[in-house]
Amino acid sequence: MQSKLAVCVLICVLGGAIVTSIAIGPGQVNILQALDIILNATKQKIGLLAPSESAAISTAHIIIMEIRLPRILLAGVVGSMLAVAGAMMQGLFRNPLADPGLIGVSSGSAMFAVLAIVLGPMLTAHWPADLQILVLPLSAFVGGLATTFLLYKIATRQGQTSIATMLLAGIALAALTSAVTGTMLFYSTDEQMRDITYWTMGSLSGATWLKLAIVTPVLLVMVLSLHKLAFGLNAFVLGEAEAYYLGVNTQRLKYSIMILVSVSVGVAVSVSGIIGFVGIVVPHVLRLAVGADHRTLLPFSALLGAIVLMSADTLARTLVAPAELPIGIITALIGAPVFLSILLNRRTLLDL
Amino acid sequence: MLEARNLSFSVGPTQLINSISFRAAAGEFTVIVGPNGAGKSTLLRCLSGELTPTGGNIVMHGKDLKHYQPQELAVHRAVLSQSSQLSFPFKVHEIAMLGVKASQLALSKEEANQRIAKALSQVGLQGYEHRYYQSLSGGEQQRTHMARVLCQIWQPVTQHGPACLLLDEPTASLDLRYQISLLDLAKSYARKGGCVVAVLHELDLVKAYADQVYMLKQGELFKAGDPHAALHQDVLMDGFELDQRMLNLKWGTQMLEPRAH
Repeated sequence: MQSKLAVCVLICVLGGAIVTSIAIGPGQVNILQALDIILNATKQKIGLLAPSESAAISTAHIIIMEIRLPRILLAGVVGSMLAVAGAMMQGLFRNPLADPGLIGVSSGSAMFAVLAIVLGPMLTAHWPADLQILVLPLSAFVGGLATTFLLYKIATRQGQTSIATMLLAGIALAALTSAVTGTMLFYSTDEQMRDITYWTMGSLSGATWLKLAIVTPVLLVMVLSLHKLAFGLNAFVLGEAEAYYLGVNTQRLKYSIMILVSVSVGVAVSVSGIIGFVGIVVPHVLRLAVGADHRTLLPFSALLGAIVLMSADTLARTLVAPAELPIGIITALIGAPVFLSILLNRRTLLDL
Repeated sequence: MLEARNLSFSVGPTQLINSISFRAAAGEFTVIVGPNGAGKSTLLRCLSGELTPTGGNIVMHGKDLKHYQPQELAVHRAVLSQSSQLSFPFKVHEIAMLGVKASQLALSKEEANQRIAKALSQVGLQGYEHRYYQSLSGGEQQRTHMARVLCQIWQPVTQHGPACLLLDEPTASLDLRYQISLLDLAKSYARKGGCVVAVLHELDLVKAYADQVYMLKQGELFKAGDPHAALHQDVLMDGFELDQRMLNLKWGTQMLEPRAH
């Protein structure tokens, strides 16, 4: 009953967040105009309306359809993926503070992204500009996946992955990658250093329909798998051995979650840089509001993650307009106090 | 029926279990006893399928245990292990529901709730559905898990054969009353055709409840037989390396001898 109410609330808030985010921002487009533009564009796309003359496309149309809408949707998709990935990691590691960083995906992405920023211009100077743009996101994606794969190999012996080994090896790998990152910073130019700093604080300003088209299928696969993974993660709350006794194929569960998390966080990081706190705060708030049952926690994380990142991005692009704040600053500013207050208020219940 | 033949298990060079043959019959309460480090829990973990034996094999319902998928295994056997710590706050109802789901039965929501309520009342926790697990005492937590395990293998006998209930020191955190009521529950599960195997330390309880006793010592089978033979004074003195004074002390302070019905 409580969860049905929560679904309705979350869906309404998500709708509200989308509409407000579309209406807010520089460019003087009011909400009705914006919705009208989107409606017309959609009708044209599906053939209900003849395409308008190219000359007639207004500035408002460009602002809404080419800049704001893809950005808002990308924020929603990335937010969903980060929150669900966080909830899965916490379930797998049996720790409310776990995040995708534990399986090396963030540190690996960061290392490869920094390598791409510093060494990229030298190596790809003769490449066409279209390809050069892809170097950074692709490196980040490959780096994240490669590090996770390495960590998985280190922690797996005789077909069994040890979560504890993975945790410790993850710390070692993170130290190693940050050493490489540090070295690259040492050799970087001032401009490159600025790029690196911005990248590690995250931004959705480069959103395009193409990026959205790449990221969305990953989210869909993730969402479709939630139902199957939920029972396994619930059983994991009792411990790995207990999960096995309850009929969970624990090795397959670990493997599936590692793949889902590394791919989704890998693509999220490659389109938006590193965005912290969403993956920890969203599942945490939901556990307190609707309980720790993964059958509700995972889908709700997808909804609330979208709402949170969309709102944070709207703040990021309006607070200091026409300039923009890195979104990582906003999520940390909102996330950290929320997180601390939760810990202080409900410490006994969480048994920390 | 659960049967192990020449079962061995080793970790690196350390042999934890050495060529043990073990048979737990349907309808019987089989108890594993022995001193600390004898390999009792290892044997139980092998029987549960969690550990793959390094030698010998285990057969359940005529099929080698290693040919079972985890999900299939969970329909036929349930395990109550020693205290487990939860990583997130779960309610008693949510824990019991894990057992219902693991049973793979397509129960309606009402049927599932009824089953959970019944299981909880059997362990003396009626009305505890919405209590948080973390707010319960150690004994209540243990009984919550017993209710979950019962939900998992609700029918002692199914069309596939008897269900197996494996208990690892189930009475460790329980007071005298619930030690007895939990073992009564296990015993009646066996009497209805189930196959119950328990690791127990309280020899007086073993005497009262066991149909068959296996005593292990240093990873090997030391003595097997009915409680009367397996718990004979001489066997105990050798098996647990006791002297006469210790034995007198143990039986001398005996307060009561529970009688199984």
